[in-house]
Amino acid sequence: MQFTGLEIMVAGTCPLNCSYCYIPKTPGMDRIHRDVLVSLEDESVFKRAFNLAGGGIENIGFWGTEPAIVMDVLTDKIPTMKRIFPLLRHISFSTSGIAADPIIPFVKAASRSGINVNIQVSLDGPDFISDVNRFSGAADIVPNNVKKIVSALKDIQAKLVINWKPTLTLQNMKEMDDSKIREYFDFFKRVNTEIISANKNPNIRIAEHSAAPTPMLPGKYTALDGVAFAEFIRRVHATGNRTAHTIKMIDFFRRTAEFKNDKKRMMCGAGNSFMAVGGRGFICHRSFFFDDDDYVDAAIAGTDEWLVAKLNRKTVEMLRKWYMPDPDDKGDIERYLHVMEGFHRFNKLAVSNIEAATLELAMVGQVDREFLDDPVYLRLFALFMSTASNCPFENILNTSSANVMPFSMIRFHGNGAFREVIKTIR
Amino acid sequence: MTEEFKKENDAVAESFIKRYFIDPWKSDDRKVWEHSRNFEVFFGTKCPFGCKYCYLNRKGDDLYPTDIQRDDVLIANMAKVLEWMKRENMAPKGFLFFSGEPFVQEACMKAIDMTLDAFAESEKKPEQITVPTGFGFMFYPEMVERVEKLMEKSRRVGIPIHLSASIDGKHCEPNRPFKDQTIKRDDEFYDKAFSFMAKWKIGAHPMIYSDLIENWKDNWKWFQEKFLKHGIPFYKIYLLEVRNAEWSPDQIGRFSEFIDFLIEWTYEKVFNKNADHTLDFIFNHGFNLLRNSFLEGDGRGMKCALQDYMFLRLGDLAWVPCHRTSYDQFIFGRFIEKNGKIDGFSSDNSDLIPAIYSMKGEDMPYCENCAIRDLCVQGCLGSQYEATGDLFSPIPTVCELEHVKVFTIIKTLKRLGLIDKATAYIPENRRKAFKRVSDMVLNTVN
Ligand code: SF4
Ligand code: SF4
Repeated sequence: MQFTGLEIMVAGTCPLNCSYCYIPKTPGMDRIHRDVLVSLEDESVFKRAFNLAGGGIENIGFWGTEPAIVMDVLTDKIPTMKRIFPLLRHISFSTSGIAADPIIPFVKAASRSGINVNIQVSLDGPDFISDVNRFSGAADIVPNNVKKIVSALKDIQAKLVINWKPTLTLQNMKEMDDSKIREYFDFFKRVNTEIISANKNPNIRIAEHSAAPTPMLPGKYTALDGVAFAEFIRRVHATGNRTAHTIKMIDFFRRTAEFKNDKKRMMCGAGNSFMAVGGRGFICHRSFFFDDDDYVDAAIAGTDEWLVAKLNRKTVEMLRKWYMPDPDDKGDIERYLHVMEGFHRFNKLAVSNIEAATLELAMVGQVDREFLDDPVYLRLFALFMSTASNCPFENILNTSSANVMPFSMIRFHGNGAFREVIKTIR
Repeated sequence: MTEEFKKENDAVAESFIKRYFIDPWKSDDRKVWEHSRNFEVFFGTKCPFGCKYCYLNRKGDDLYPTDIQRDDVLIANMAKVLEWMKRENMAPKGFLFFSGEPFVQEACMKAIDMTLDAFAESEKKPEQITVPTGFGFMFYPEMVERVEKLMEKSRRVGIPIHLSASIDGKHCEPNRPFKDQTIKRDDEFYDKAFSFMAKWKIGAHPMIYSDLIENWKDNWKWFQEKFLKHGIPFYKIYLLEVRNAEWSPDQIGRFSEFIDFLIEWTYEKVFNKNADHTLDFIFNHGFNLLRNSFLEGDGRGMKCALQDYMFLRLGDLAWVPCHRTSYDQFIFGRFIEKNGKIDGFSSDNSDLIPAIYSMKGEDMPYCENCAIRDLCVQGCLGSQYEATGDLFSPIPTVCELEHVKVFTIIKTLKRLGLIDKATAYIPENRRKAFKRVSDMVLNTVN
């Protein structure tokens, strides 16, 4: 099998309630969490992962909700993971940074087993964002916890990379004037400097560029939202900084220039290089829990968070039938791989779909009219969107096919944002 | 935000409907149409047959829930559709009534009749009404009479009804059983059916299915005997391979044998070993099964009718990608009514509209890099969804079937000494691909 990565479902509850989090905080999640815990303790989730993805796994990611709440169990299971997946070299997880203590012993144990760790820390910026989006005091507490982790790991031999994951809602972007944007980047600069000076271990690295702001996606985006996003990018560029979008675009052009524009490398590896696993297979961690009725009920009721056009029971039924492969059914796994491989490997249909949709939107004034007049510009946009901004899961939820991108994404990027980034790169 | 989002999606769908359908339907100059813009009334799924390969038989309720197939609603909606077309002074190029078996449904007969009445006096009329039928009505003399009356009327008003006979032939009878197993097609039935076909110049439309593929040579001979007996030309038969997932390697082998037989039969029995006539027939006129790989294309990206039609599921006025993909999650949206009249459109999965109407079959994943992409009919989106879970992902067994088909055509042309002349008869935009694939097949593949 082709898989080198796994996303394992490790938790179902979270002590926080971030404003944009798509996971409903309902009593049903407590039950799910208990089941998840059992599957870690009795190791059944790792066995399912082996059936679904084979034994060639090199990277494992812990996903679900906040992994810090199960770090003790995960620490105990490192030998099991190593035994089932002898090639395992990397573990990564994403944390809210609310607690350092459970993470430190885990990284030490992983290091002793020769496993490198990557920690993605959700921090959205200074207090006027982080404390609002995440929890009160987050802008201080989170960096301090990271400092604590770094300081406690002076001696680890394996590599540890820490990167930030700032997520901005459209509202955040709209509210950030030039001074707030400067404040945002200054905040991360200061935090990075403090952590780097606290770090005494050459095996530990802070990925500084990861502070570039990422918009919350997906969304039910309108043309005006796209205009607001473009304006935000313009303001960021005016301060001499870059957004995550800018960085992606630079990468896109660099690869194009080197004739290496490879869809597979530029996008996530969902269903292609990695398999997500809980009670069954999933596209990625974002589709976790969709096999559970309570979760689906809550997600449908709270569509403010699940900002997709077609989150309804039929879409969920489809997702369950076709995109949650059964670990005990080889035929089902092969079928799923065939579809996902088709999505990742080939790009012509995606490009033509995006071009056609962009032209339709341009004709009704929902994206830049320039797309109607300049086929090269249109092609470039479609290539960029199809390789660097294409999420199969979001596509499925919105359009019912991994191969069709929703209008929402095209509006979001096609109302000045793409032009703004190109201008800057030029 | 959500309201604005929905409004924007509606605007895209409405703009597309206007440009792609309504403007051509209103236009007096049919030549401005890049390709046909027809209208399919997806009437219902009621059917006396239980055809083994049929998606309506297998997935009917998911494609068209029975609770939205009430006769009174269907008739009322048909009236709304026709009123809308008349009000807007437009006529689709053609109508097609699609249902399990249209002529054993009183309501469907009525809907067809209403369509004739609606356009009878119009300057702008559809050119024809097509009705695929399993000829179930042949069992009931009074129904035959009514169908004939309707056909006569259609000719009087200048919108001829064309039937297409979905009959699979004596040797493939078990593929198309009646749900009521006491009813059987016997020789008497077939004689009646073929004489009806001869009278109304109706062609047969059998499906080449994996089950009983081994019988197809005999079946072919049987069809031709019946044609001869009833004075129907040999070519009035539209063969189409069922692109379902269930083809086994052995069945694909039998399919290849049939293709080989069919070409040889045409060459020897029809054209008396005249190479030019045979090749001209195969590549430019005859048997869809052979020809569909080499079609020139006429501005459409798909070789099926997908992009030629607006498919309307009549029971809920839902515009769907087609009758095999009318699952809930693929519905583009629904026409909305105000005061009993069609007035506007409410989008659902409007994001799928440009994808479906602009796609080229050869751009699908895997097809993009496939050796026969320019000579392949490509998969059926509905069948692909049923087998893979994705509309656009080819079914590996169907790919094998299509490869074998193209390779067999090439090898048989070689065997019969026709290959050198063949290229000249192939539409220009397929020649290069034909040359490339035949060089590959004849020189490197055993
Ligand atoms: S891009 Fe989409 S499918 Fe891929 S990992 Fe992210 S959310 Fe999942
Ligand atoms: S054989 Fe399969 S992959 Fe090749 S063009 Fe046909 S449908 Fe596509």
